[in-house]
Amino acid sequence: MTILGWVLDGTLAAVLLLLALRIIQVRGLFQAVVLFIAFGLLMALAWVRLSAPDIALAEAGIGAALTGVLLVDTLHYLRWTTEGRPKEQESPTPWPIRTPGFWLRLATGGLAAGTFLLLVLVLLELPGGPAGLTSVVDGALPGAGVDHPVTAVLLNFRSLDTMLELAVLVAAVMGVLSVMRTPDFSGLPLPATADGVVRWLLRSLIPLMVLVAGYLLWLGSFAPGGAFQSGVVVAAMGVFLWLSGRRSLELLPAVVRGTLLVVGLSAFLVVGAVLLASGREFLEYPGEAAAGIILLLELAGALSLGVGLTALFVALHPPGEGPPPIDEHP
Amino acid sequence: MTGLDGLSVLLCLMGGVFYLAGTVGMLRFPNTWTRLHALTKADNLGLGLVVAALVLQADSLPGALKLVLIWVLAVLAGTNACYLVGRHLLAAKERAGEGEVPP
Amino acid sequence: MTVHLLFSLVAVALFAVGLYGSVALVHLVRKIISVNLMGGGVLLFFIATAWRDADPHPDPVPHAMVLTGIVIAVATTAFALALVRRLHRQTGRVDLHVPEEEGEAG
Repeated sequence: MTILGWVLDGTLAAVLLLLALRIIQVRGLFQAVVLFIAFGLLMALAWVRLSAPDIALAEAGIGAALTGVLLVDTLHYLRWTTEGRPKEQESPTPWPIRTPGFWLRLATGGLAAGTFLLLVLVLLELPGGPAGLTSVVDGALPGAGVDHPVTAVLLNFRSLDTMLELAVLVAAVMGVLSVMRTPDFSGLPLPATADGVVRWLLRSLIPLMVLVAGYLLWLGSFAPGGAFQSGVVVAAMGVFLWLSGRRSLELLPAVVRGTLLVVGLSAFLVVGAVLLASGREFLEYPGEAAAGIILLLELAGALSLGVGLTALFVALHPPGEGPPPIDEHP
Repeated sequence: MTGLDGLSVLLCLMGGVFYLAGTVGMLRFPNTWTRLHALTKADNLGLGLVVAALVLQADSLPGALKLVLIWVLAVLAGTNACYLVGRHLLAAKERAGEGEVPP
Repeated sequence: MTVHLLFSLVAVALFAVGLYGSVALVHLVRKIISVNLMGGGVLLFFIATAWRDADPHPDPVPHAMVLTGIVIAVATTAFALALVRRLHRQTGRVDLHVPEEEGEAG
């Protein structure tokens, strides 16, 4: 490791830690959210330094961008309901937020420090040297249907994990719809923008995003990319439309919308069932069909992921509720 | 290190200088309008220089073109973000009735 | 010390910082941010450890798990934020403190 490499990695690691400490400590909530978005982007850099470009792509899109939009949107919502609610909807017994006392903070700090020390001890006890599954994966890679090891693991060797992750996303969408009591998908944070620049941006970027999503999907077979990264770009497209005041999910017929939400999970289940019926294990692909099956599952997964993540945003905004939109260009 | 590598390093360093200038501007300028200026212009140019350095190192023409596309998209995103923030500031100022420019 | 050890230490520290924040901070959105920090620490630890077996490329199984983990983290964050909004809509509160006696109210 060169000196320059050490300086770079050391600085990155130090800034990550300092950002985290600052996020905990800073007084303003909006500042904390902005710092958290910066933290997400620096994590993406850390993934690149650790030779994980797949994860860097996903983290920059989901961990930094989408989570950031979620948090900022929630802050906007909370501020409205504090300042602008009609009198009769005020909570009946308002009491002040109690900040934790000194002893509680000290005890919690002790707990955190103790956890840190314990985990460092465990970390130093880990067996050094190659103790992972690289050689196992490389040995099984030729018959896997794709050339990129991470994609092979995600969609062939451990495709059960990917299927369950899509199930978690569907469950989260259903959970948000229930908790927020959202009747349909027409909730928008802002009215449809009349601003020429934003509309030009929409017209230029949306087709490009479709192209990039398709490219990333195909790329996953032999380079960092694949279903997750493609799904992130589709989700970014949906959230971009939503933030510009354009309805995307609402315009789809309900059947199409529901199908897109569950097509990822369903594709895995159907493929698994067919394979079970033909005498193999659940999700054990026959060698010659593996590439085709993986591409099919990736397409379904990317669609589900993109639509599901967009649905999370739209579901958090029941129509008719929320702050009166600030119309900057009436 | 060949001449091409040396040129790449030089371009990267110049890009770094522009990024540094943009960050210093963001920290030191008095209000949001000037900070937007510093961030958007300096960072876009810095990125252009870094991408130029990488294009010199690219293996193939499609790879180089992809790098240029990344720069174009980053410029689009940065410029439009700057525009949106500026428009919001202007609207806030007008709503406040020609009062204080928001910091 | 190798690079992966440095990032592992930072990952563990992030986890500890997030743990402190999720207990000591009162505002629910701050708690959610702290839990996300803990998640980031755990994922960073996974990948830093995957680098031990870095010949010819890092262990891809933790990479796949972390990819899944990132998506699950955002889905859980969205659900948690929905719960915060619902709590705020019903009670006007953004914390979980309940007064024990009448005297604390108001």
